[in-house]
Amino acid sequence: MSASTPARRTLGVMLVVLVVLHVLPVPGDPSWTLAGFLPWDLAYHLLWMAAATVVVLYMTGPAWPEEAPPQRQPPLSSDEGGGDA
Amino acid sequence: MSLPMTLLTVCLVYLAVVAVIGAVAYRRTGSSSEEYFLGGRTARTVVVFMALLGTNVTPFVIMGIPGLAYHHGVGVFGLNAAIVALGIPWTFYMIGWPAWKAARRVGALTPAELFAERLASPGLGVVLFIAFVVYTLPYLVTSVLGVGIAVSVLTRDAVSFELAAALILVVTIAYTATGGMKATMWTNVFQGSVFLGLMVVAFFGVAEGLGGFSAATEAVRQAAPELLTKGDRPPFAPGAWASWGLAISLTVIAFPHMLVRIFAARDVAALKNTCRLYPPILVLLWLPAVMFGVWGAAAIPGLEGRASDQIFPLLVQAHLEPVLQGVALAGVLAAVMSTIDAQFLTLGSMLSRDVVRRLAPDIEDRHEVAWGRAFVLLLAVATYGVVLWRPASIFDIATFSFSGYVMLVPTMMGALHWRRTTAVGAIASIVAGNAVLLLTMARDQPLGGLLPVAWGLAAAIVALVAGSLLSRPPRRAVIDRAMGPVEPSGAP
Repeated sequence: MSASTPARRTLGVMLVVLVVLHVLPVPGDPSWTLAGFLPWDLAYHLLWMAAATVVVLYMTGPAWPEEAPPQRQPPLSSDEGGGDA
Repeated sequence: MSLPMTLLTVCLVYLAVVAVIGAVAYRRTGSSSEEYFLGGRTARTVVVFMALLGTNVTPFVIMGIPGLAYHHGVGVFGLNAAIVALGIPWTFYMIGWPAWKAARRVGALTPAELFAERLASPGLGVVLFIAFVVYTLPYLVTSVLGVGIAVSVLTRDAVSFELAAALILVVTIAYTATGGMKATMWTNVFQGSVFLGLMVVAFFGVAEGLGGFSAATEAVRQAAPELLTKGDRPPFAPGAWASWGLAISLTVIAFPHMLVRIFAARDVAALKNTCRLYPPILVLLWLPAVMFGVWGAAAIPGLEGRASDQIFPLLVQAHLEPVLQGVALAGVLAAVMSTIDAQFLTLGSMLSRDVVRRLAPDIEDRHEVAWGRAFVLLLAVATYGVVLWRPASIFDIATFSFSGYVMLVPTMMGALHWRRTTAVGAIASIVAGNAVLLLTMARDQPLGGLLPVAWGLAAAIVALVAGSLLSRPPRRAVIDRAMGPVEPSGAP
């Protein structure tokens, strides 16, 4: 069974958005601190990781179908196993 | 009890637990190659996750990252931790999952064997074997370097760097060679728990010792405020930032010792759960690691160059009780052993499967396993030699290895997703990628603002496509045997 095309497309969009947010400069005032000790440049990336966690949950849900482990295939005979190197 | 005796006692307890787990695993391991090298492909979620995490986490995280953050500040977190929280699960999905299926279909025990079968090319298996050895040996060195530094600092040189490195190699080889994959995976569950617990306990302990979280950060604001912002230092320039993110995201799945642990998974659920656990656990590891370096810059200033690799053990020594210092040492040992056991086992299995079995197809399983064990011993000696040489900092050595592994990713992606991929294309990709990587590494300044890994990856992709289109693909039966019949959706 395969993942649905819409699910894979949605995952693709999510991934692109996250990568763009990772590459762009960190927004906000770098002198801010979160909880009194976390510099904003670090806190921003913690928030980014929270978003990444949501994307991973989606990836392992709709975009990744359940399936049984595949069966071992018998070796091919020399007539069947052509190669190029 | 004196400090050295306390440290020794805690470490002996740790080593005793590891030995017991290894012995139990040995008694439950069958004699076949699949049992020894992959644990019979029966690992469930907790074991798969902890084995992958234990293999993935090395002194690069516990020692190298604090050392890097000491010089470059909080930007190190975004540069490394954030992107791999997404990159590692994504590559498990895109490469790990189809590779797991293909390995089961063709009965492959090693990554090189899998791709050699998929592309019907024993020659590709040898090329991959060479590439994996060349890039895994330096990575092995970073692990042993880390433990040598930690032990010598924490014991105040009562145990020398050289002795610590030798001891860790001997103990790890003992349980790896006897118990195989099952021993390494089971011990990794315990070892992962130890270093995860260490990082959390040390985070709170060191912060308390520095006067609390806010006071520790405030001290940095007074002494080195530039470390509290990402700024525009060279590692964080846009091109370097993007290309390093690419490298560190793609490299993990190309570690042969990671891929074989994926092969050992019992089912898809174990792989999915592993992906789900990765991001939150990475926060637990990397947030303390980066803050140790940043806080350490104010608390223990003046460490130059690779001397900053010592900042974590120095903080532990200054701010934690003796028993916790022992736990810290055990945690570093755990991080090291849980990685090098997998690396040794995987390299041993590749020699047996990808070289010896090719030369002697009728070899018995027990002889194949014996070859693997002999190669493990040889590698341990080579590793020790490079550790004594100690050519660069932990981070620099890891960068070399990580970049090299990335050159193998186009071959993996192509072989698992593009049926037109050929062995000629794969070999061209590996050769071209590494050639461009080495040429760009030799430059004093980054080419076009990008790290060498980006140029090498581009060359590897172009060579894979061109080489594949210009050569004859394997027969359809070969492709179907590894990938299954074509599905209308084109899913992996």
